[in-house]
Amino acid sequence: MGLDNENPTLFEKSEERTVSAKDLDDNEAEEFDSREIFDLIRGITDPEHPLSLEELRVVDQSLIEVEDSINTVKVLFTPTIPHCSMATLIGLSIKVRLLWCLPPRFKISVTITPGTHASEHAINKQLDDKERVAAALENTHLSTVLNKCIATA
Amino acid sequence: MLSFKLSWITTSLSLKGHRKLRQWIDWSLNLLADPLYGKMMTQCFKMLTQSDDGYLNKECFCSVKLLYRQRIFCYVIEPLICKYNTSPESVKENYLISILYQMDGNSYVTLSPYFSKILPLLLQLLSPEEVYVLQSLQTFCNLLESKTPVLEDYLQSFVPKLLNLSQSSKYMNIRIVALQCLYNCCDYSLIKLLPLKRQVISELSKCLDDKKRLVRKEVVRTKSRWLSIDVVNDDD
Repeated sequence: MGLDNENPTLFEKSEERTVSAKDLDDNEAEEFDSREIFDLIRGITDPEHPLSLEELRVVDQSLIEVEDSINTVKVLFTPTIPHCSMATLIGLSIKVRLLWCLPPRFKISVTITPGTHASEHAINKQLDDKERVAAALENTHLSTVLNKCIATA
Repeated sequence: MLSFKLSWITTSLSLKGHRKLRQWIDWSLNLLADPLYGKMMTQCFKMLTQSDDGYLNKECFCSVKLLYRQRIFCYVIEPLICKYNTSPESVKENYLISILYQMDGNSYVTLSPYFSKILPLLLQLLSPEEVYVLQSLQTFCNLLESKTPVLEDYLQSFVPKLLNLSQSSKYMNIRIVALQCLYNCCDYSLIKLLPLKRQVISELSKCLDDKKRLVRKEVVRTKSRWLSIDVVNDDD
């Protein structure tokens, strides 16, 4: 079975976040921002290619919205081609990674960038459904694949 | 100035293995109890573990005997621990700093016969109210990084302390090093780690909401590693 996207376009990785003096001050509290969320998910590996979601421009910092005060995180991701069969899996890996790495107070929403996928409505519904996500994690084959993707994050 | 000179002389004697060495070491040990000079004498114990690039080395035709650091360590460690346990508060920390310097400067092989004495001391220090918790933590981290086998049996005792430090310490440096220690724990055998996994994951989840970004980064790193210790890799 051939790959969905044999020859994806590659993008450059961005630099690591610089540490400022404010970061080292014990008393300053720092809120979550989009760069922090981006750093959490940019290293996730694509299920088909040995490349990260950042390198494939599936996730981008400009498509992440964070509101610390009202506990919401919204991530839009862009599958590389409109009929990508891995889209659900990629969305799931982003969602699971954020579920494990953010405090429980956050409400996490992971959806496909509008207009970039044929079945975006159905996939968005699946990703939003807590029970379906939990059931997917119970599936041993799926969780093995997910762990492999997230391991590099 | 006096303590400085004393330290240099003691170090040079120890390099050579001079027969009068014991006397000088005993003097250094006794000076640690002095309220005026004690603090400065701790530098002596640091110097004894370091190799000097300037003057006291083979290039300058010094006589450097084999295993001199280890010999010093074996001689001083027990008196240091004993004095630490029995001294008054004011000088206690001098002994402690000297012990930590000695431990940092020697390898696991030298430390291992004395672990049963050193470990209770280290464990005592791993609580947020202790003053020298950062240095003790860093020493501990180095021990864990080098996969010291003896520590494997004590996992049950220090993991809860590390978890407590990573949540309740006021200083971000301490929280970060405690988390790094927890990260290094994953190098030990699965059988010892699994009983602790659930507790570690649930405590670490509380740390995810730390107010400092650098600490949050460490929590994510540590939690991801603990989550993956029992993942079966399915190579297709």
